[in-house]
Amino acid sequence: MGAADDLTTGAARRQQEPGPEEASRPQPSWLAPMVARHPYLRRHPHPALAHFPIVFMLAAGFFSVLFLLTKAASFETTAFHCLGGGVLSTPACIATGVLTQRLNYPRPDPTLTLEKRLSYLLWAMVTAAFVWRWLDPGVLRDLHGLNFIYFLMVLALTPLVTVISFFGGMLTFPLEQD
Amino acid sequence: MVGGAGTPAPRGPPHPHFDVKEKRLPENLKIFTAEELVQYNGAAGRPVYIAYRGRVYDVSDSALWAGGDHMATHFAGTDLTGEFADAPHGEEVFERYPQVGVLPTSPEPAEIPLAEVSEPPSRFLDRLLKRFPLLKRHPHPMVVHFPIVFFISTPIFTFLYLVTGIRSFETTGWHCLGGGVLFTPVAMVTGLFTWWLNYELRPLRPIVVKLILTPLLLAAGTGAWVWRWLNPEILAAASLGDWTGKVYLGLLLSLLPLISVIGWCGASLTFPLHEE
Repeated sequence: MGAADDLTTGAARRQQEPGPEEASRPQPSWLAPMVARHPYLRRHPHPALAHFPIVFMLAAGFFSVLFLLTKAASFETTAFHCLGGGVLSTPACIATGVLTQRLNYPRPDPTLTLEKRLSYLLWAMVTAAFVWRWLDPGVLRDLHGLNFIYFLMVLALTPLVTVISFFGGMLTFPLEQD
Repeated sequence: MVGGAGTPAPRGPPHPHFDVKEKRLPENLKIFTAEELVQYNGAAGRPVYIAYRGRVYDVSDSALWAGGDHMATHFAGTDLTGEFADAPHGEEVFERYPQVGVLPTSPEPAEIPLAEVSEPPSRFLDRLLKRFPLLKRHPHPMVVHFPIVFFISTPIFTFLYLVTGIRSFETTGWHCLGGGVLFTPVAMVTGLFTWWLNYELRPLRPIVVKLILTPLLLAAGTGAWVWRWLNPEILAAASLGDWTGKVYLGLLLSLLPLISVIGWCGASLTFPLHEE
């Protein structure tokens, strides 16, 4: 099995493998009754919320590029608003992701750990970019010097969120099922 | 291993018609009772067997069944017939695994060969999907992110404008509306492809609801976008009590329930609630 196969099916496999830490993550006592009462809480919150950071991060980069191409200031403002959407929705997405992991993937898994770490990095980057643009509304109008780093930060959100969502997509629809 | 010991087990469902009462089964197939089947639950290194529509399959080689459960939702040693209806994959998935026996007590014994149900749509497509397996299930779930978020964001940013009076929120709402309008046809095309390829155009209720509501969503979104393009001050009219502004606002607000119901239908196909 190649590296790509391992990436796409590895998480699903590893979640089944018993490990020494298997019993080290007990579920809180309030969780089971809550999920029994509201079964959609078991799987749906994270996939539902994950839509928002994915689209906001991609849209921030897209509208920034659109602004640079057209010089229409409203596109740059929309990019800023999308950054704000990313800042707000990412923590909610991370929190539901942790909940989903506890409920559905109780065993420690390196892929999920990587996904979580990348999500923290994503949140840090989008927050930094949002604050930067808030403090300097003209940052994208002149791309010289440090301002270019802001642009790169906004662009970097795209590959980062793509990788994170790829892991999520592979958990939902593992390639082996295909 | 019961049933298959010493004999190469057949792949997929090669014996679609058998008469259990007369026990005219090939030698390498075993007749299981529910009590026997439950022993093959993958625990302590035991084989992983599952039953579907009267057939018992050995899925021990599948990484997705390692340990005896699948996605922490389905469990080995059981009859999965009742859990399969809304699965995100078709019956063709069983062609990958050897049939090791039959379960006569299954509520819906198969009457037609599964291979006939899941003929590949075309040789070209078959080759394409083998080369790029991502194309089989992923395009629609990936694309739908965009109309969902854009159509939800449109009323939110519009509401922010109405509350704060900051004009740029209204413009962002309009840009999001444009994003929703652009991506909805792509989502429709990938959705139809997924329905054809993975659900064999079966008229499942969530899909029928999506088929009805998505064109409505596209019409409402496109109408609102064009209206706002022709009249950038349309929302100012709403605050002045003009009926056109109110209708426009109503159109934007209608996007929320429409996209929520459509999104929920899609989610119920991916994670069916009855499996929870």
